[in-house]
Amino acid sequence: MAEPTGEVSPPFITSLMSFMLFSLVFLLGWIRDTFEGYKGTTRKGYAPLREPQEDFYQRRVFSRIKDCYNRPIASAPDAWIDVLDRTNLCHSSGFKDLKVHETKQHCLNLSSYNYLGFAAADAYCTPQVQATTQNLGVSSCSSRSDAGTTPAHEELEKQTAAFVGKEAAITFGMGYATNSAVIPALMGKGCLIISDQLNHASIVSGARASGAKVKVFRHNDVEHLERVLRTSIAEGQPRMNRPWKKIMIFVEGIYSMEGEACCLSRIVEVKKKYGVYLYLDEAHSIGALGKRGRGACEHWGVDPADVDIMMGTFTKSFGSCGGYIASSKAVIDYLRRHSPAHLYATAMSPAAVQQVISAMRLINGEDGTTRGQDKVKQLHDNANYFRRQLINMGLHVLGDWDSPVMPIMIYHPGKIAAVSRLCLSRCLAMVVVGFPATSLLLTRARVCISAAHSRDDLDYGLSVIRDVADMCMMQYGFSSTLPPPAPHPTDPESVLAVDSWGSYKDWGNIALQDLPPQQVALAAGHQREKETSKKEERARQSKGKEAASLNTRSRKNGILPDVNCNGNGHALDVDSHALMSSFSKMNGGLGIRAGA
Amino acid sequence: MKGQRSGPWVVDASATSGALLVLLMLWAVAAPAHASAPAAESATPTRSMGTDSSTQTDESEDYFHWQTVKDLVGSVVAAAVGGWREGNGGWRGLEVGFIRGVQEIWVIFGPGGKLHPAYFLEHFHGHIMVEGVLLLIIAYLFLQSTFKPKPHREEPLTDKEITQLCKEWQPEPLVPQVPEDDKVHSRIISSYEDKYVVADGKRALNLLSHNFLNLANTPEMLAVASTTVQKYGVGSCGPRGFYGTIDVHLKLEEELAQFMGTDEAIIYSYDIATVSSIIPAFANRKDVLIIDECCGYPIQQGATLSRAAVHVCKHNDMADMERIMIMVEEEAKKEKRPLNRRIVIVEGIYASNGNLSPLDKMYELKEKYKYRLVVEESMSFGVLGENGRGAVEHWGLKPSDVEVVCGSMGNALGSVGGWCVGTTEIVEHQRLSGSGYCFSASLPPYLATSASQSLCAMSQPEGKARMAQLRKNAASMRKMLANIPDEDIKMVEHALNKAVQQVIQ
Repeated sequence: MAEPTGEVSPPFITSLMSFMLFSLVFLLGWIRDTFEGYKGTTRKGYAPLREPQEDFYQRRVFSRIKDCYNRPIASAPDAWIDVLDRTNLCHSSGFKDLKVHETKQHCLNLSSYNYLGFAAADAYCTPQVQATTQNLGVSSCSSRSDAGTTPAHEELEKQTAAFVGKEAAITFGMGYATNSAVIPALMGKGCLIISDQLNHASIVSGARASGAKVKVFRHNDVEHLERVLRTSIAEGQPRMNRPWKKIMIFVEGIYSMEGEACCLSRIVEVKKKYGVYLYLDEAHSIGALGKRGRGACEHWGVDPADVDIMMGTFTKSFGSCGGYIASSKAVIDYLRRHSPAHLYATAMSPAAVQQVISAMRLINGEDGTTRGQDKVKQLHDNANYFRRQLINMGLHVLGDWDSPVMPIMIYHPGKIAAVSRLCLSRCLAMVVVGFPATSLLLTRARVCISAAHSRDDLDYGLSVIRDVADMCMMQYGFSSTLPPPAPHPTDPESVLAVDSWGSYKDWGNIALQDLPPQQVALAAGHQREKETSKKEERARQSKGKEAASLNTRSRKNGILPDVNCNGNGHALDVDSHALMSSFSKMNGGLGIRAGA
Repeated sequence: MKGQRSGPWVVDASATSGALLVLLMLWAVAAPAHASAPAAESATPTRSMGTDSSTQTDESEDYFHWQTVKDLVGSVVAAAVGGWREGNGGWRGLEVGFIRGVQEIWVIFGPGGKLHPAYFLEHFHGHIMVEGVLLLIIAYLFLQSTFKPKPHREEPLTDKEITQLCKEWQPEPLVPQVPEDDKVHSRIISSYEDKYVVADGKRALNLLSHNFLNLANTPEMLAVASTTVQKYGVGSCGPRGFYGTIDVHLKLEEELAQFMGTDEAIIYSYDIATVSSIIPAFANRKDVLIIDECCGYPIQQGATLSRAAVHVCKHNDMADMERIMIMVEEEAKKEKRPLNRRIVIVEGIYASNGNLSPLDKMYELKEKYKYRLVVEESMSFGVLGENGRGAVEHWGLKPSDVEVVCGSMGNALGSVGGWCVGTTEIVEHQRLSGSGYCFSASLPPYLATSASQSLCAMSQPEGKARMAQLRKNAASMRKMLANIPDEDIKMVEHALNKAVQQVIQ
């Protein structure tokens, strides 16, 4: 059982420096505004479009690191992406100052929510999607209740309900709108919403639109949840003192900025004890958690019947778009009648519907192979391997085992741009998040692991992160409090799982003589490569971008051996795990392919 | 009485500061007298023993001079020793010595002495310092809000009572049961071929879809969609900020801006999330919104989410709108509110009744009262205006006259999603503040290329011909419907009623 990892707080010096940095940036911005004579574009007699502070923040603070966000890509968001180059034109207005070029850079993608690797064209899914496009078109130009319901939609809803283990389901064309349009239909005046502190913006806006009273409990803190619940029930509605009509707890399966899985089993206990309802947002956990990819319920061994409303999106694991609500038949019937997204919004595109159907079939093994299940296993292996390596590097990583989202704490906001630009120059696309998405001092970089990543890709990513973490001094000396990964509660082979995890620690200590001869030769080759490349490595550091793109080219041309993939590049045996791990240990994980 | 603050500390701040003010005045009056005291008393020869000479000669400006302290101690000891000797070591001598010691101390602490407050006041701008401190305290007290004891609170519930209440509480069912005849049974459409659909197995004329220009699902669009799916996959797997921006999105935005004749355009991934994200991005608690009573759900939700003061005006009634604008202005004047953002939100063609907004008159009004205008053009885009730019063009306004124009891609464009056009400032602001834009995965690339495809078709001469045909069709359909004789309508009504009664029985 993973306990909440507790309060995250930056080292004192870092917070001090961060405040100093912000004061300096604000001072410089203010000086510039004063002497450059910035005047807004607002017409006379009109209030400015943006609040003055907001405007100042965006022009003078955010515009400095604007190039770290909204980077356009020119490919599918697969394991490797083509990031388009941009140049900064430095306008004082802070608008439209990034020019996009035609040239692009091939980067390892550690940023997309492509957990199961369905983002790119797939041999099984894509032909089916294209066939559906031919039959049912791109869009029905109508709402679901009018002429937007196709046989594909019907099938998707049945399949989704079966996939998550509920009676019925309803689907919408956008994950955000699913929350923001369904919550107001379920909750209203006289109802109480108890929401996790770090819930997604869509839940927040849905709750706000519903008119229900919202109370917040500390992130993933079940005791606090229970306290809030008890006092709320005892006090009743504010001022009126009438009992609440309905109370619903809102949690997420995996929190997208924390990488933590919610303690679902304990929350369900509390929920049952007080007879309140539970709304589980599985946007990030469906497909990613659980041995068969069925989400948080499977991961925690919770009966889906104990979760009243199961919400999720098709954007992440299924590589499509849209969202679903799965619940009892009565609830779904009610939503069909009362949810504005069902009545007024354009129906989900049939092609996107087919993508989800095909992806689910694959995960269910209905295509007659184990490819789907292999993907889930690969995802967990990749995620746990990557997390272990990051922790070993001395980085402060949030989140739980099996979760494909891992935020690496940067803390100092000044390092945002450095980390992001250094990573990009080394052909690594990684997301950095700062104020206002997180609190001022809890700046972080976020890694999203995919089943599409090979072990080779991950090692490359790790080497870059190690490099950048050294340069940016991101090892804050936090020791990880994360216990070793727990076996799946519902997993009958849990003993086996523990054994395989147990051997994890020893991976770094495997001596060369223990390996089969051809692998020794391979390892030795790597060692030589590394020695000869020391000079080049120095050159690379000065001209990171060029050399890194060189790497990519060489990896494309197959100069570097692909040791980790057996056959189809999915299932991995422990030997290759061990081998790769020992490689990364030997080479310090840095610059394995630096001079290749 | 737990939790109630009482006792000597509960004093009114203004009373305290008043008292301090009096004190300050007294001080100001009394201090010069003290200050002059040393001059008068300096002549009094009360010094004894040899040590006092240094006390007098030491005129250094340091107040707490070490010498003064040493002098003090030294003179007391000397007085005691001297007294002891004078009285031949008897107790009486000690008494004399003690009195002398006290005298010595008095010399230092008494008027004219170095440790007397008057000395401090005289030598070190002490007057100003003390008064300054007092003034600061008074200012501080004035700035405090008056303390009011909180109302008496009841004894908090015990743990046992809370448990009891929790046990007793019974929630309502999550949703009320939907009656069978109220359930939504959508027809299942298994094919969309041109203007026909196959609904529940029957081929029928499609009068349901908003495919106004019949640009959706053309063979060209399907080909484009298939190619895009092959290249980019189906979903974009990320929000725009985090590597979810794909070149086809940028291309579509550029094309949309060009088509609408504005600086820039922004695309959202769903139509109902578009305007409901735009409104909260431009309005908050302090601002004023005027919305038409026939505006649809997304506008209503946006208005709710913004928390602004919402005024609902009568449908297409410009006099009512003006009344509200005057009322808002007067209210702002009366309460001396700072300038706030004021926005009128209307639909180009109302989805609920098909009416057009009189944008020309609205433009005059909004310019007169300094409002911004948001026009939701889901239904009018590609339908109204010579170039299909929508209601703004239809009413002869320039694209720059209306601040925000937004709409759905699910209608004339034949794709899925939402769009908004405006000046650079309007659009760029949404890229950070539009929550449906920031916090949602971006539009699937194939939907973007499909929309690009229909936008391209719309800007061709052939597209304009389609629009002309659409307007012609609409006019003739309207005419035909209006020409249905009353008895026919009554007959249909009668037949429907009969059918409903049969169902009920």
